[in-house]
Amino acid sequence: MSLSISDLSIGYDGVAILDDINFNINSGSYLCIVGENGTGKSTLLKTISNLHKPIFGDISFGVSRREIGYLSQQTAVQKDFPATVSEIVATGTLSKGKWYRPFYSKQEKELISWAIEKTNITDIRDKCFRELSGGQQRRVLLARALVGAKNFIILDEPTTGLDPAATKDFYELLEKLNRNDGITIIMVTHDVESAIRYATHVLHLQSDDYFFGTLGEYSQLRKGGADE
Amino acid sequence: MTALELLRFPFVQYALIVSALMAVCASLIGVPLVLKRYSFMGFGLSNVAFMGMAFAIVIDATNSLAIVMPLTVAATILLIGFGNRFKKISGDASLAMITVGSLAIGHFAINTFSMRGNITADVSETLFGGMRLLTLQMPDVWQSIALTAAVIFFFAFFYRRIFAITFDVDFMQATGQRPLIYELLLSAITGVVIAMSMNLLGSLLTASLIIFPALSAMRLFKSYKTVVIFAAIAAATCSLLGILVSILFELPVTTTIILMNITLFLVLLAVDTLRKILV
Ligand SMILES: Nc1ncnc2c1ncn2[C@@H]1O[C@H](COP(=O)(O)OP(=O)(O)OP(=O)(O)O)[C@@H](O)[C@H]1O
Ligand SMILES: [Mg+2]
Repeated sequence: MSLSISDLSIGYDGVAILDDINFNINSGSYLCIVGENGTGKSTLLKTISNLHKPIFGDISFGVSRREIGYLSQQTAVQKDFPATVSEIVATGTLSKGKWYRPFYSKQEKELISWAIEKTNITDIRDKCFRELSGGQQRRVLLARALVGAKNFIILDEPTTGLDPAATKDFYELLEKLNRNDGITIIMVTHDVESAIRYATHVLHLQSDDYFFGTLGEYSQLRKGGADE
Repeated sequence: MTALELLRFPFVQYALIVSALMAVCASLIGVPLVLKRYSFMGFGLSNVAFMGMAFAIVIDATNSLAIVMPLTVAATILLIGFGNRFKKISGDASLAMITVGSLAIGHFAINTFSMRGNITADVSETLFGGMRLLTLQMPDVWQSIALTAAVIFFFAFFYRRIFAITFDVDFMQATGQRPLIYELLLSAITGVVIAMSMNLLGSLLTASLIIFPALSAMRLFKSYKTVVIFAAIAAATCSLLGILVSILFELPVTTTIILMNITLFLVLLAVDTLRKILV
């Protein structure tokens, strides 16, 4: 078991927006979280990622949090940040590095190179982050997530602001990581049609309810809904 | 008198050493502040330090740092360390209130309770510095050497974490690290530097040293490491030049240093803009 959510209740200031969430996913799964605006997708992801306190319930990973990669939504600070691609990717190793070691070890440097290759950003590794395109920036942040976690990655709307081609590239990269490298993926997304194609499971949030199931079950449900 | 002859005077030597060292400290803490969009924080916190200094003047404290330091460090930790975690009042509003409020309270306290004769001189010196910088003693020099050594050690040792909390706190939190520890540590050091710098250089120069070198460096350099190193070098150079120029031409010392920093920024801005147009 890779992630197990039980009796989870999420919300703000003690007021729940979603109650009694229960689901499990195994390692190697690819879970897409979808739903209308304001149904709590981001809140759920933040709660899972330890950025927001749950009102009630348990979230347990099969591994330590330090084994998890996280790709946040782009912040304003990052947009014009003067840092090279490799400087940013390198910070992915910090979750495992000892606090009293001031430099990156040889092993960590190899890991950084590995992630840079995996995400096809080798040719821009010495470039400045703020001079990259949106799609390239997203790959850099994915590389950073990969460095810290070779087997579990959480992403919050990673393709916002990307054009269709860059979006497709990004999804295909994620699919490869999932299929070939067995990396578990949890992703919040807006574009249901193109994103869930790659998923193994879908969590569909509604205003006070949710659906959780495999991609097949979800497609069946949607087809059924359309026939009615 | 030439610049070389000036260097023979101990008071000039002290001023050069102390201002260059404080410039290095202030510009180092300035880089993460500016990048986190806390540029104005430097000014707000210098004003808090001003208020502390005013209290020290009122009670005629022998060691004003004993009051300025804890006050400034506490304000820094509250504003920067915890600032984005407890958003009851927006960061922008609380900063504005603190900037204006501490200036007013400080001025009020000096004017109302101070037993000393020349109030205007006290206020002017605390805000704009100058006299203090040209009348430094050996202990002041040792103090700034110790502070600079500590700040440089902190930056070198925690360089990767400082970078990480500047770039993305959420990532650290989500991957099971403890960014709050490093944020608190950095803001404590920021508070110490601002208090010391305000005591030696006045609050306006302190605020300038936090923003201008960092902004200048960001115009020219593309990696975090080079930005940090260049900011420190640029700040120290502007201070050294500023002091020599101001003594030679009888100009006000702290504002001359600030104008040096502004000039450097404008030149680099022009270079950067030209480069973008030409390429
Ligand atoms: N900081 C906050 N304080 C209080 N309520 C909040 C806060 N952030 C979000 N909410 C509320 O929680 C609900 C869920 O918000 P959330 O951002 O999780 O939705 P979402 O599914 O991610 O929406 P979107 O598709 O627009 O990104 C919304 O009704 C929103 O108003
Ligand atoms: Mg959202």
